[in-house]
Amino acid sequence: CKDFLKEEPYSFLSNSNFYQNENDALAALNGVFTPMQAQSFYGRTAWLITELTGDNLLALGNATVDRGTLNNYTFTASNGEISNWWNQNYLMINRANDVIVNVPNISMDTTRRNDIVGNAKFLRALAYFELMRTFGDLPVFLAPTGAQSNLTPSRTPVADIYKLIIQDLKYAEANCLPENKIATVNKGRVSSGAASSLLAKVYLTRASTSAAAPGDYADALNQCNKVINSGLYKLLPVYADIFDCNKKNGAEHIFSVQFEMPPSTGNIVIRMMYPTQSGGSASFGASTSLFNSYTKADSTRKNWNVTNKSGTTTVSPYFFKYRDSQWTSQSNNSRTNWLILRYADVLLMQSEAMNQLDAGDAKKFDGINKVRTRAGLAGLNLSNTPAKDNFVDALLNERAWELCMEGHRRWDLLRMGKLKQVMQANRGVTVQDNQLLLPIPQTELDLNPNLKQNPGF
Amino acid sequence: RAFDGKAQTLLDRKITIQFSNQEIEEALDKIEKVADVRFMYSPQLISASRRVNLNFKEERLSTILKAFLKPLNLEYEVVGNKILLNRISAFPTQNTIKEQEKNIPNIEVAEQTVSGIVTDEKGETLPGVNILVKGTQKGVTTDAKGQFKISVADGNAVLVFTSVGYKKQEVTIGGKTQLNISLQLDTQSLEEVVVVGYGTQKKKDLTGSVSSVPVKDIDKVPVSRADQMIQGRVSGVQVIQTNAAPGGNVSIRIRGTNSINSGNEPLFVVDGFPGAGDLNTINPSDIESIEILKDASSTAIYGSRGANGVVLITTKKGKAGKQIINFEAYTGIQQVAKKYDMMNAREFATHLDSVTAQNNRANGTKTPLNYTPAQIAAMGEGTNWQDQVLRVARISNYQFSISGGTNDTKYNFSAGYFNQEGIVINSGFERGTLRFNFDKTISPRLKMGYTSQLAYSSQNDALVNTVGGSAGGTVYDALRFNPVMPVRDSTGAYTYKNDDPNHFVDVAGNPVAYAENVTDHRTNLRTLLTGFGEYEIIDGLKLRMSIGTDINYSTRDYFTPSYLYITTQNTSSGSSQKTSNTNFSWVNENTLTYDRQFDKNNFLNAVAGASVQVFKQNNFTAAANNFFTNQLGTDNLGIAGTTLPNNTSSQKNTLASFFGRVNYQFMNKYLFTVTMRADGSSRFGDGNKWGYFPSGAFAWRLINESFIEKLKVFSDLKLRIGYGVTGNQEIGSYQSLPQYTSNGYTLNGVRVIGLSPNNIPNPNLSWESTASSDIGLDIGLFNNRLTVTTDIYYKKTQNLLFNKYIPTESGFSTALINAGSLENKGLEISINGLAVTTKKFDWEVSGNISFNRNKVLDLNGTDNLLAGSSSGSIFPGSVTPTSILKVGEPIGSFYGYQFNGIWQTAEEITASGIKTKPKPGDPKYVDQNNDGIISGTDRTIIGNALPKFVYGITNSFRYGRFNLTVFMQGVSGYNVLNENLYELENGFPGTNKLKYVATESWTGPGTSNRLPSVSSILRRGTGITSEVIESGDYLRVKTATLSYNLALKNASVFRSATIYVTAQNLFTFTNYSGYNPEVNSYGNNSNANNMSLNTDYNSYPLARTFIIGAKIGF
Repeated sequence: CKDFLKEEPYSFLSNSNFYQNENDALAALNGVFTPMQAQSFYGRTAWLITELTGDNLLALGNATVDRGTLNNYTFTASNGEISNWWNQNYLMINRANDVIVNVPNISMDTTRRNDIVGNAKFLRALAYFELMRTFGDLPVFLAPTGAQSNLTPSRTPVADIYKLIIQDLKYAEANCLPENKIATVNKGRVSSGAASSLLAKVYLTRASTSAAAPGDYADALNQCNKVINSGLYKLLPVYADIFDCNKKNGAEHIFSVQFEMPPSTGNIVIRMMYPTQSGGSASFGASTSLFNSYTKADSTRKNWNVTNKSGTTTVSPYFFKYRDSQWTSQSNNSRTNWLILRYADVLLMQSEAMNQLDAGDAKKFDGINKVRTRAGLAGLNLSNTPAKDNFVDALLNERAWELCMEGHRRWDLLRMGKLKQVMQANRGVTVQDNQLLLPIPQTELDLNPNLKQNPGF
Repeated sequence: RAFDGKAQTLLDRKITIQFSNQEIEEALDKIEKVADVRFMYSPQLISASRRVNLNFKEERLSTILKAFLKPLNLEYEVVGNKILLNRISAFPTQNTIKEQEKNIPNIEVAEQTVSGIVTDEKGETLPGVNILVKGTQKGVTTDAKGQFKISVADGNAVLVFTSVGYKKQEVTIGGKTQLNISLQLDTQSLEEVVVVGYGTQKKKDLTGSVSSVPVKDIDKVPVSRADQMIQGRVSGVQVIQTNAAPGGNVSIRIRGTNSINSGNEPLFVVDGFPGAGDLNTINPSDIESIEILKDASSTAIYGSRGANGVVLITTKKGKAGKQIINFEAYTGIQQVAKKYDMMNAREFATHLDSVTAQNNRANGTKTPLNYTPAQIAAMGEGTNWQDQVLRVARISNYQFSISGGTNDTKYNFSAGYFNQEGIVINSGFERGTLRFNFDKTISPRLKMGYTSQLAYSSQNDALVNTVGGSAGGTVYDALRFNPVMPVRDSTGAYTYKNDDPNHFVDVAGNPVAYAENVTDHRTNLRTLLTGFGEYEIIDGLKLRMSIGTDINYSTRDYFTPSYLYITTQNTSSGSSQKTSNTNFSWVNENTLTYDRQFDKNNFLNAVAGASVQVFKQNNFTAAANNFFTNQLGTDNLGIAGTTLPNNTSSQKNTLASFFGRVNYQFMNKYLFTVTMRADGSSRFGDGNKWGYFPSGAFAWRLINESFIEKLKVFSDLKLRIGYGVTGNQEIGSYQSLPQYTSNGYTLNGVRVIGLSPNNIPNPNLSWESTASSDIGLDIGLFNNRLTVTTDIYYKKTQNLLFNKYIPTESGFSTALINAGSLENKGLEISINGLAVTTKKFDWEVSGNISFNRNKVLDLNGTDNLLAGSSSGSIFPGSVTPTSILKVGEPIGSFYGYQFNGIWQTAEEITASGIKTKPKPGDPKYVDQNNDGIISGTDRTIIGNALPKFVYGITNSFRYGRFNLTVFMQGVSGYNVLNENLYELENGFPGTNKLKYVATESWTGPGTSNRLPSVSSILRRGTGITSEVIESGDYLRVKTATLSYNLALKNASVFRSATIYVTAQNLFTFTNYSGYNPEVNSYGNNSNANNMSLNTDYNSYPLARTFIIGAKIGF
């Protein structure tokens, strides 16, 4: 009778028949990547969180309440997109934890096993980094959630989370394959260089906060140099090629969320950005401040990134940056990858770190000038950009022109301490001090009594 | 006398019986009980004043009868299992003219002799029927073959036919010499036997709450599916056809909603096979009886599956006697019962221009108007898209059956074919069934039986109940499509895309093109087989072993041709999907039953059994896009340009059980029942596989107490009290195990498979248990011409299988646990009355009403949870919950913003201090917490989906050969969330609107306090609001049937012939503005949260049906 009532899983794997071999480990790792393709993550929500709260992206027309309130800083703890952001990052963290805890028990080639764990650790670090920049102190889970887990942890201070992130990224840097060793069929996985680049960003970010550790800028610079000196990455000569769906995962791409037409998951970003006349849903526009900020000489990037034309019709400016020859009018699906780390960003971070370490060092212009040169612009130097502050402004502008609508704007403004000022100037939106962090979703506060809300919400 | 073998067995029964100074009738009654036989006799045979004594111990029945009857000058004859009593006389028993006991004047001179045969409603001959010449004391009884002969004075004489268990019938002789009479079963009879779990019981012996559906009455009118036989007919049961499409879903709730996350449907037991649940695959004409077990004392024998009530369906078996052939055919038409009154082309164009003009004024823009006055003047009605997708549809049914047999071998064979076109083009449902039931008595102690049904159904679905928006929907698009647009353009091609002059209809395509060209075809092939053998080991002790299997194979083929422009679902190049599901289940049940009357006061019936049941499922889905040809549909997915991932899945669950029940009767007044079931289910955690479900009940037959008899008010009176615990295991399989489920990612442009944890396994998962108590009263008045059954009950469900919301930091949003509780309490009353009965005219009325109150008692410590989901296209970005589960409130509480009129002026807005800055003409919502902002915290309970009461009334009239039956059914005190109004009254201007929007919307201060300005989008931007929550109360004339029984000549080859006309859904009295208040658009969705109740969005319209048919018996 006991056997008669025993449940035998047929069409799914359970703890009894999973994590047996390398293929299982790889499948589990793919599962960690999966959430990133969701609209509620890097398919949409990521840029709602990072760009709508900046000065470049506008929510248009019949914007949902969630989007409208992010855009004009009236968001509340009930904002659905903030919930999405929280949920999806934690979903990825739990899946990464599952891999990090279970894969080391599989007997298989150690190098390949560590690469898999490294990938998972990178993704876990990325998720915690995204969450921490958004919300501050966080509940931390480092093991897969089971029946015995504590489901109501309190918040761990930012400083401790940075340590966890750095630890994970160092492991990933040491154990993930370098870009040139990743087999073509695996393009999209985490490389050692991706871990180095993200580590640079983590140090650079921490340096700007009260959790700053001595040596953060130097560490950031060191990480950037590691990537630059590896010779594995370079700027693509043609700016448009970065966004060419036929040239994905190229020399400039360090880490991207992969999208592809069905049967894979497509990216909705094109439909959401384009005006109806171009077959889009006209949900978002580009701000006039960005549209007008490009200099005449910067026409290559301007024309690629933003436009006010749909064919010959003049419309409100919109992001035209993402294009796909296979996209059809009104389709939710495009092949556009979401870029998380690319080489131009590393070059600009190198300049940013050097400016903080020694503003008088002329070498700090190397990175930014490579980016400007590709755009067809003249270089900066100590005479046209003499002061440390001028250079910060120049970097901020350069990053907007180069990296607009790639999910950097909120973090750049925060890191350089310019969010309130820029939002006031460019959007006329007054940002309260407490709004430099977003509110923890109300549903989470309701379910976890140990979670305390950020001040002011 | 010589008796056949079977009669001999009956007469060989040994019984113990003892009584003294009993009236003969009472004495016969007692023998009937003890020996389990039935006497048939004419009352005239027995002198009321005579009293007898008997004292036998373990004596053969034949001996007892001889000793008992001889002094009374009676003899007996065994007919089937009945014993026919006759006067010992020199005359042959056949056609005997009886003299009277009393000294009455000599028999009048017979001028006319009438002879004939009496049969029951099935055509089986009836022996022992008493026939009396009205107004005289003269009478005869029918013989073993149901034949009689009597002489009467003249043609004006009236013969009165009576027999226990049948309705009295009076016949005027006229000039006839031959009279064939068919007696109707008296369903009011307390001798009525009802099916209960693992056995049968006399209705008067029931201790629990069991409702019998009056199948025999309902059978007179055409019904297309079994649930229609239940709706409105019995108290305590709510049947909701959530989708009005042919073959559409039905939900059945017995005594309220017990569960939040687990199943709420009752257990269906067909011919003893538990879990054979799809009412669409059972031919209603094959149904002999439907019993509904409502309280725990009657459902506890089904243990872990009994909490939601049990529906027992028994199919027709053959009967000994003449071979009976029945043929029935009907056909009819269906038409939409109610349409939305939309704007026509001219009205819409005018309206659209006026909206644009208003927006221009409000925003200072100069958007050009869509139509010029000249264009509008040239427009007529335009396209009425509803008329384009709706049609007058046919319905027809053919039913053939042949049954009969001998005492040892009985058979029933039937074949049925039912075809219902849908009123939405290209939708419909077809069903063919074959049934063969067979019973055989192998030896006096050994019996076997077999039932089988093969059912095939085929269904074309219209695109309804979709999420709307770009996903489209046939009916939904017919409502919102621009009436200015023709169905086809000047070249004859469909107007695919509604982008002239504006992008009006999102991205959806022409609904007529969709309805005519898209295939969504489902089939189902189901075989249900049961067989049993029964052996009487010693007298009264029977072993029964049964085995059954249910094999259910269903498919779905979905194909969109490439030339169709619809939506964004990759359909521009064609898409297709093919699904097949195989469900297989078998059950083995073994029971021992013991029946024993110890003496006149003590009677015992006990049953004990064990059963095992296995359920297996296999599913397969393949999908492909991008077809270069549309010729092959789903039949060759290999030619598609893009093949999508295939999906297969397989699962199994098992159930092992032990059960027992003891019924004990004392003094024919006090009835006790104790039941217990132990169920082991594979679905639960290792430590919690077994559950135990006990119940007990007591009934007191007050009518048999002398102090009640003395009142001479009641013809029946019984009090029932019961308590028990039952369970619910209706969660998916494997919930206690960790599950890694597949997903996908993309590497180097290619999809790769990922695998991820899908749940927090709960090794302690266990049953949901419902404790329920019931007190019932059965009352009979005026010789049972009026009967009333009423019950009150209280049910508390604990350890709810509860999808607890957990912090998403865990990587999951829910965990399945046992927690929380809720209650249902209610009152139900059913009344049956024979209001008028005369020779020419009968009027019978029956009604029932049920009140249920549901309340959430505990939600695992939290005060409330949001539940239900709304269309993602009305509220994009996130799924907006529509209801709230709140401690102290019922399930199905609609949750949203309270509408409070329209903002009339800017001054009013400023004065109110509201910070969200609405515009005049925007709807006003109550700021519950007075913080000046309308936000989530201002939501409140704005309605409820669960009715206060449901009721049904049936009136049957007979006038001569005409019968008229009118059945009405109603639901009261509940709300429907009409999501259609977000689009039809309000929202995007480019879609068509209800006619009254043009005239009744706000256009300036004081113009309207109900409908917002046409340019306002605030309602839709706010969420669930009270102005789209409507009262769903309705009273429906569900069926009205007029039938005529043809007068048949004696020599006719026909045994009976009836013709009838029926109207279904003739009238609905309701204030609900939509198609049909009996609706739940999310009721079909397999993964729908079962808390999304009574939501109307893009639903299938209700049809009104007119049918004409005939029934012929040979």
